[in-house]
Amino acid sequence: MDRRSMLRNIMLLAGVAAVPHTSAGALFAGPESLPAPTAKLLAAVADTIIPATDTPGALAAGVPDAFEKLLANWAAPVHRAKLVGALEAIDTKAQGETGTAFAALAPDARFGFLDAYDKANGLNADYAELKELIVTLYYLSEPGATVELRYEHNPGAWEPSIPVTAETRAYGGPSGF
Amino acid sequence: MSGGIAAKELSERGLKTLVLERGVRMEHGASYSDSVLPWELINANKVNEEELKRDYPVQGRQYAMSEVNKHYWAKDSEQPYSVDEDKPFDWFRGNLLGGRSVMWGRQTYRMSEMDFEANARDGHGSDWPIRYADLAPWYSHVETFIGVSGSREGLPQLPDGEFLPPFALNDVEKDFAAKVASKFDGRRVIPGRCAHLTETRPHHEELGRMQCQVRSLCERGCTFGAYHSSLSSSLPAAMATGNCTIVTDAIVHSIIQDPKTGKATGVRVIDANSREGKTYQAKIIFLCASTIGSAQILLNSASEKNPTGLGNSSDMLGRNLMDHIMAGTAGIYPGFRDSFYRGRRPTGFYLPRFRNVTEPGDFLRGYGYQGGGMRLGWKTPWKAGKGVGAPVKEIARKPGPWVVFLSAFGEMLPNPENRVTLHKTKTDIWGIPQVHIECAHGDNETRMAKQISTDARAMIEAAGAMVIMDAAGKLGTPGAGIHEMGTACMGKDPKTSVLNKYNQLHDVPNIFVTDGAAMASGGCQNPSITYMALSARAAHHASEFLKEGAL
Repeated sequence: MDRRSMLRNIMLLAGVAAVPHTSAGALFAGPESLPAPTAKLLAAVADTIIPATDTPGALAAGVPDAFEKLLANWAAPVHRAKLVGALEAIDTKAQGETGTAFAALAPDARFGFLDAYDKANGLNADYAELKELIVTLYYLSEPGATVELRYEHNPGAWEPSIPVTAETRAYGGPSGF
Repeated sequence: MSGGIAAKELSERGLKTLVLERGVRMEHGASYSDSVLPWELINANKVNEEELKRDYPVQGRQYAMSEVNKHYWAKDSEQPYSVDEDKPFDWFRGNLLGGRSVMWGRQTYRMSEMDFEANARDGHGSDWPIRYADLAPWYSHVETFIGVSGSREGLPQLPDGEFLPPFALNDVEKDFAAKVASKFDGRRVIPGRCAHLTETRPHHEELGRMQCQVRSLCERGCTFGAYHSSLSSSLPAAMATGNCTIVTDAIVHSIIQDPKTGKATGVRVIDANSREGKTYQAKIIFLCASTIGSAQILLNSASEKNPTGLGNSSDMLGRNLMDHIMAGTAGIYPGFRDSFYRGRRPTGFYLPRFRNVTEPGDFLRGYGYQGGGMRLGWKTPWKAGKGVGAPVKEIARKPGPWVVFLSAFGEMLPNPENRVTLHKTKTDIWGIPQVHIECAHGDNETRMAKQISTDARAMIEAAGAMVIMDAAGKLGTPGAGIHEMGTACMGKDPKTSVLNKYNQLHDVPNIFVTDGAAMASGGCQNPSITYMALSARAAHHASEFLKEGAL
């Protein structure tokens, strides 16, 4: 365990709820894996799946960067190619239908296209995984987990029954469902 | 798990105790990864796929291993074992001080009188040489020490224990409990019993243990020491006596027996890193190397006098390997949209065994269900096919529908053909023969698995829920329950069992085996508390026998 983590554990024990942390980027150390046009496509797809609303979207949460690192550091080459293929298939279809690269479409047009594409690709395993990874990285991110949703690393107590109000949010962080 | 309790109990009785651990040294708190926040998880907590395939092809199959704690687990690539191609067995192993007690599921249920009588009644396995009354005080002793949360229910098939306050059921679980009770006579839904401190007692505080913070980061180790593990609880208690020494990276090769006296005199150990051999001498030896590991050591302690392994005059050593069969069912639960919960409770509910208790079954033994009710999280609204963008983000922002799930553990019959032997040619990197595991489910398990699914579906549907996931009677791979047991069964008769009623080898009375290997049958309860109670009881008797000069 490094000193930073050790310090945080000590602070947790002292009951300090909010502890400063370094950005996720500092912990990832993988090579960049995508050529610039693919990276641009990835950013456009992530932004369209989870746009900024009254809370940050995938871009502000650093999802494209985290996804590239996931491809480089986690996925085996064949799997990586499948995921990049699923990404590029979106662009190919967009070019065919609109004559324009997906990333070059206006935000409304991107949404209209990708929403229809998603609904038509519910059984496309590669696309489904691409989407799941993007969504997962968003809700694991600090803005996704704590601004859009709610996450307490250290809830401190079990409350078995609380009322749902207008302010109630689902819980961010790891989820099985 | 059992080793920590044995070390504590022996040390507290004034015995100079040496703990030999084959895994790496870990420090309670300092070695844990429980402070890592979700946005700090490397690769979204997924283990690199090539590394997973190369180093953890078996270990990676279960829920408790992820990027953040992968180093707690034994690398299958470094510590291989052998199975027949058509008989897979998943063997999950820790590789750290504290062993799997650091990553365990923490569910804690006593076995009952009917479990200790089961082998005698239906003739499978060796008759337990003890009954519930023999172990009850030791259950109490261990529960008090480790801290177990639970509710007193007065059920004969699931005896009450020394409990800290339970984790309460949430609103849907309460509703489900009421519906099950009203529609299925004799079936009960009760709070899960788990080894978590819902309150601390002075003896917990003395060890630096604190109240559970409801984080459910347990498999990473708990800096609060809020659940019992050897690292957080029993080994610190052992060390506090001044009588305990711990050596890690110490791979026990075999036990040395004096051919003249028949007694064990010590153990041969290989240093995992330098690969140097070393011998430690002792008056008594407790084997708590985990079920299969303990069998491996005894089998590898063969000598001229004992050509098939130490303590194997019965030919039962390595036999009767058991696990718990597992099957899960889940359903979407209607209503309760205005109710939620706060905190990640480290347990759920328990539905104690009813088959062959209050209701008949067309199989022997029975099963209990662990389960829970929860609201679906952010993942479900985002499934491919459901659209993208702000509208989906808005849906995922709110807690989803409720789900109730039931996940059974069912008793597997002891069967001498399910066994562990030493491979004739394959060795590990330390030159120790690899374990060869042969284990398969039989007809009783097949029939039980079908009933598990039928009963779960009936209860979920009777509560008005719609089943969305169902194991449909399918049996998983043996070992997948991570409750491997047997291989050195206790018994009354030295001709048909390996251990006596004090967990001593019939053949070598100064060797005690008190981990899962000792189990003559498995019950359907999560077994760790029984290993711990057997360990404490055996340590008491070992100490008394030493005093009497009987060892």
